[in-house]
Amino acid sequence: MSVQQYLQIGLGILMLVVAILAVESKKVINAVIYLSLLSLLAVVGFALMNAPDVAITEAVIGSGLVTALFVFTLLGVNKEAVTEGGENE
Amino acid sequence: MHIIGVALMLIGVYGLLTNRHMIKIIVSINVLEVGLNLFIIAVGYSDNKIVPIITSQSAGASNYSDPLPQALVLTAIVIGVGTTAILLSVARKLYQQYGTFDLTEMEAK
Amino acid sequence: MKKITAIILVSLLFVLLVMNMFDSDINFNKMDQSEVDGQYYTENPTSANMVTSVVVDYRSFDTLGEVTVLFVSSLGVAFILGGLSSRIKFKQSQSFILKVGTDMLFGMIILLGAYMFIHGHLTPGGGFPGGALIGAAFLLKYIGDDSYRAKISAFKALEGTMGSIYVLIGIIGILVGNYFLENLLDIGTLGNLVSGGLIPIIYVLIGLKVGSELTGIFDYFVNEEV
Repeated sequence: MSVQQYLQIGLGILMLVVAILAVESKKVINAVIYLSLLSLLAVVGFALMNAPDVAITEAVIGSGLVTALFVFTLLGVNKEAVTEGGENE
Repeated sequence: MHIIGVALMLIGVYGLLTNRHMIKIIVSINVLEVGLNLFIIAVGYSDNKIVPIITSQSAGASNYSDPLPQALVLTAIVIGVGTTAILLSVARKLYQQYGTFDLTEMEAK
Repeated sequence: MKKITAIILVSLLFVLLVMNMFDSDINFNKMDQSEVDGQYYTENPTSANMVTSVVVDYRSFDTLGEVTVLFVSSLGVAFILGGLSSRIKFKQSQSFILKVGTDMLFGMIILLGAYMFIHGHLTPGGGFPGGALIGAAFLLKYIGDDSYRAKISAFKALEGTMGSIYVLIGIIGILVGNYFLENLLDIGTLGNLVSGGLIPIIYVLIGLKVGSELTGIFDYFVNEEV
């Protein structure tokens, strides 16, 4: 297998790990940062698959705008609602 | 790469089913959208094709990559931002009304 | 119990989808040029960037639909979060270097965004990331200064005007040409700055509209009740 296929498989496994961390973390602010990291890895994936238009659009929107919207929503609440992120049966 | 896209979509659906905190539900919806866009671009990818832009070095070539999935995903990314903005403003209004982000505590009130 | 049921359901769906993907007789990574869906678009491009010619020329109606969806979402945020008037104060005071630095960077980011949507038919990018960069430049000003408010009324007038001009161009296509949103101007040689007919004009309209829309959404998000 060539270098490009190894790179795609490695990137894919990293994206799966970050996605599971984003969905299962206890604090909410950690989940938002993991979502931003997942978006960054997806930009690399789009660039590897011959799609530069989509890579630039996802880079600008995923890293700057969506993360800023989440952080501004979480700024106006008190501390207790932010750290209570876990589920218990 | 399309298996990775399907797996990301299903991780997003699992997060949507299991979480109780409203902001984490919105994070799971965004994970679902990233997986979906990755899958559509992966369908349009083949091994020996080049970027679909006509430059002076690639004029006359005939193995350009498929531009149609890239046009669809460009639209889908921007619509995802609009959806996230409305969901976050609804979440903020619900917090002002009930005082909590947790769905089970909201049902009890 | 809920988590175990969810894990079983999701794994079942995963196995079903992957089995059906490997079962069909389309080999996804090794398709020939004649089996590709968008083969007509690669053989008759109207601009040097083929994705631009698909988004703005061949499927321009879908782009009009997307512009409408952004407008409706901006309207929704204005309905839900309107009426708050004072800014959220940050916990740390903003130093002098932060304010001067963001003022200097603001002009450069606006220039990069304008470059991106003017050259959308020659290089990767286009109207949507160019407009999002302009929105990100205003977000930088909002973060760097604790009491900054942009002139939102001017942005709302700009957004409404650009959207109306886009629909007007489509209606002119019906009156003068053959169909809605027809490319009426001359195409010219591929690769020049002035080429592609109506494509650069529509991308400039879309870039300004998306930039002012995202700035309006941010202005609603940073406010709170007094």
